[in-house]
Amino acid sequence: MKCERCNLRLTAYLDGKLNARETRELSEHMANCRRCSEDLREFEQIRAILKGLPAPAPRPGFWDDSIRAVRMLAVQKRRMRRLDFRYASGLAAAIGIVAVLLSFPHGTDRVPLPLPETAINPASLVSLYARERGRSPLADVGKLRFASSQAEAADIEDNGRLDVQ
Amino acid sequence: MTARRDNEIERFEALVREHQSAIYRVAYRLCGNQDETEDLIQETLIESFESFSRFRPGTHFDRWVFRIMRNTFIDGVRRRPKVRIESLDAGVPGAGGELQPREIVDLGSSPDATMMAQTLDEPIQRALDALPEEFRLVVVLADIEGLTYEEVSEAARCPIGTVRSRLHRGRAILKEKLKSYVRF
Repeated sequence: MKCERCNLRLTAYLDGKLNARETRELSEHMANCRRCSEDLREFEQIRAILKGLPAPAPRPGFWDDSIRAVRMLAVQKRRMRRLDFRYASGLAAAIGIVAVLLSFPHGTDRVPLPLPETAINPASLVSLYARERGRSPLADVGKLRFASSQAEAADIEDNGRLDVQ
Repeated sequence: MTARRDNEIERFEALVREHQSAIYRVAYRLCGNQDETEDLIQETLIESFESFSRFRPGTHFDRWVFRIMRNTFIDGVRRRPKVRIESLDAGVPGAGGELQPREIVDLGSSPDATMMAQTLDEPIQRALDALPEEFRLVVVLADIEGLTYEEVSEAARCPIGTVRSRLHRGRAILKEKLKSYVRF
């Protein structure tokens, strides 16, 4: 085994991560190579020094502050969720109201004319329709024909204004 | 819902208290100073609490936190501007401002590595700071915290072969850096 190959495996050798064959090869090489066995000793020392580093101490109250920060975050998030729910509810209500308002007819030309529910006077009905020139919702042809015939029967002479086809 | 959340905070706090020394140790050795350590820990704790529902009870809480800390640390490093790294081979400024050679500890005459580590805490930390972040993470987790290669692999999110090579190269760099201080 060459020193270069041995050196690349020193850390794994030190940590017992090589298989049996590789471990034996490295052991044999180092028994005859002072440089590689020195390298191994230095790696071992570095590992021991790192392991022996003193534990750093946090400033007093650091952990209490950190835990408090997490608690505050949790409370804030809970509040945000509640607010989100309220906003969502308000938004849904607003959308509903707008939708209802939009569903109503708007504009002057769509407002239905007041219709008499009972006791239709055929003459006034025909003249009303003639005046509106078919724009009113009284587009019931049968009813109008009936009204028209009634009007004729009533001897109303207004043929020039009647526009029923 | 609120009671469940309160209970979650209690459990989280208990686990943090139990592992606070290890969490602080790893964070400190990654950052190298108290201010950044505190920032890293607080960010990590907040991230950890956010993901706490994914923590499996009965597994190692500290290893789970280290995994989150790794992400927070690496993200933080990427966001930070590059800093100048001081060479350990250079001298140190003396009282009059002139450069003086660093004090070198002879490890051969004082084989107690623990005492050596305590004496050399600052230079060792500077040598750690000089390592690339991913190497530093692996060295800190394996050599300071004593995690197995498998545990380091999981925390550092890299294959075991990568752990092995990073650990080797990290230790080799430290060995070279500390030669100015330690006569092996």
